[in-house]
Amino acid sequence: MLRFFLVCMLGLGCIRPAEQKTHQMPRGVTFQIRNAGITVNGSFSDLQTDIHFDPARLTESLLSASVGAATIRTGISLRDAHLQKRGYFDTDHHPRIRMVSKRIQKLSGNQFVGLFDLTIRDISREVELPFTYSLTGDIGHFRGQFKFNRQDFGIGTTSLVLADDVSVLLDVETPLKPL
Amino acid sequence: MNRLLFPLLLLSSVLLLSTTAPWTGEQAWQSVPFTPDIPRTWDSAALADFDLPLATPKASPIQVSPAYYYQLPERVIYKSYPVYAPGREPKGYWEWLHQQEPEIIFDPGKLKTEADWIKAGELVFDAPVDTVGNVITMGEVRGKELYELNKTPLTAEGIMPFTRYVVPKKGLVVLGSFACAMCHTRVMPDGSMLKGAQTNFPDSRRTAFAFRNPAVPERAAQGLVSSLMAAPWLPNDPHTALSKQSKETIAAAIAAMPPGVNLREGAGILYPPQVPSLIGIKDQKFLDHTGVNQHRSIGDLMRYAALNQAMDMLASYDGFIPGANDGKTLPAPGKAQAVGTADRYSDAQLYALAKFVYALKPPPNPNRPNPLTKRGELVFAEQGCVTCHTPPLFTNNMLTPVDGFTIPEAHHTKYPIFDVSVGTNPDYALKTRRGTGYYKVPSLRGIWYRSPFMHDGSLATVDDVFDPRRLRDDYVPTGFKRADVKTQAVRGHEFGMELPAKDRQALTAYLKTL
Repeated sequence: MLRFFLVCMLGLGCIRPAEQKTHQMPRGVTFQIRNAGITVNGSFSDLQTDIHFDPARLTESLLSASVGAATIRTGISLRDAHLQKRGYFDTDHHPRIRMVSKRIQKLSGNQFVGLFDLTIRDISREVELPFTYSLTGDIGHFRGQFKFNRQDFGIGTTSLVLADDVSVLLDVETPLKPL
Repeated sequence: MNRLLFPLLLLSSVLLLSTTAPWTGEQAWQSVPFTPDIPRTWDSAALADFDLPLATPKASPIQVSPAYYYQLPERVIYKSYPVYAPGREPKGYWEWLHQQEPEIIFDPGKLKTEADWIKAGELVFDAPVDTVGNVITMGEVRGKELYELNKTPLTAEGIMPFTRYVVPKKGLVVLGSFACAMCHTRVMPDGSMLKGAQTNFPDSRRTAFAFRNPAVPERAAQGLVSSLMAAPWLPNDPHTALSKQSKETIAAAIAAMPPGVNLREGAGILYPPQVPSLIGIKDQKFLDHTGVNQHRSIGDLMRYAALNQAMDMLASYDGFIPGANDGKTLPAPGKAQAVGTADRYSDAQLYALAKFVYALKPPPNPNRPNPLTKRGELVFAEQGCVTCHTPPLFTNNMLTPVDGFTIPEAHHTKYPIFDVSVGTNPDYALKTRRGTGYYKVPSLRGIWYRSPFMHDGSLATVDDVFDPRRLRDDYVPTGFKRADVKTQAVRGHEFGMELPAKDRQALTAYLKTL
């Protein structure tokens, strides 16, 4: 079983022009959202994982992870502060964003797909996450991407400039725990 | 003369609304028969939530009752005439004025179309509330100092558009002032007059100049500060302290306000408000920099006009009634002596005024989109400006708390709050009779034709807003700067300051196209 994490999200994030040009996303938990016609990149940190994963024993595997909601960074500090408020992540009351696997299936080779419960602001929704997996020593490397609708989690409201869909990229190296 | 009368009479304050406006494509439907549904201005239910609570809740204003309000006599609006600067008056104009018959020009019975109501609203906008020289005197506008020393701008025709002559009786010409037009009319660089825009009338400098006249007693200046600005519920209220200073100290404090920043009742001399433009106000959900009044309907704009011309002087702030002779006893209806407190606009006048304000249109913008502004538009989005200054209104119509203010829990569901401070000077929002603990997010539309900027007008240009030097203590503000300091950092709203020069230039160019 494994746990894993992922998560992330959104916001009004923002990105620096240089980052936009290269389209290189750092490792960890990052996200993208369209805002006022541009793609805003952001990230979360304080990743905590509990990963029990064996490709040969998927039904027993569990991927569980969380990030600190208040660690959101979009390149603009005031925006980050606002995203932590109750209209968005309400981090005082909901400090962690969690993702826990419910079912994992193998697609082919090192490619898998997992059904996860994503919990933000105490609201849980199922999301499907295709991901790849590799192992170096006892460090597992998981990489995957999924989308969700921010309004499903009460993150902000309808906006003329901010898209609803948030794309989350997980690129995580983490120690594995035994099943 | 009681202790309040003289100072209040000297006052020049604020006002509202204005303007001129080419009608564009709306002209046709404005010409069809129109039966207005005029809200009751002083309606108890509407007034109940009209004011936001003050940052010190116990001091939140209790307005006069509808019974009191409607006992006040309605204002009579006479035809008024332009004031020309000395040497610019057409030959025989003064004599011609003295031959005119008085003419009452606001008659709701004659208004048949929406366009008629809008036109009539312009008459209300221009109509002086003071016609006895309590705010500005005939001597001032016909003398040279107002123009030469205080550099009052003139239109191409030589008109000083911030006051008007009124003929209340044949052979009698009086100076009228304290109209909405006084604070919401701007003389443009080409000499045209733009009604509704942030004024460039140097009224505070004029007031300071008047105070320095030896004939003005010190207690008059002190009384003005006390009645207009005091917030006595505050410990060590700075304006109560200022009201005990010398006349010269007070005059210097007032003179520190540049054109476009006003000596406004209930606001502050030490933390004065920038005069907002009224053009586009229909789309704004809060009125005043501190969002002290909600703008839910045309009725609210009518209430706002009534309040600021000048029913707010009769409100009770934790027992303090600014327009009361003794500071605490409400005068009988029609007996208050502060300018604008002994009478009221009719509901029809206010409705017409609000219709006129809603109809205001910006002038043609000479700043056209080009590659530089396109780059600036991208920078605007990249820098996250859109979060607060959201197109198409270029405001998200929210309130932002100031440093030092804790948002009451109930406000989160009652008002749209962007609950992060941008770090601007909080004093206006905390230490005045208009202080709610918030500043509203201002619209960026039309910044090309107005200035100065920031809620206190401390920065003269858009470039100054993005200049990182303004954060330093040795900075000399290009707009308002308190009289008692030589330098002063202008902190807060610290965005765009680290941009490369080219991007900053592009951003500024883009903003001027809005």
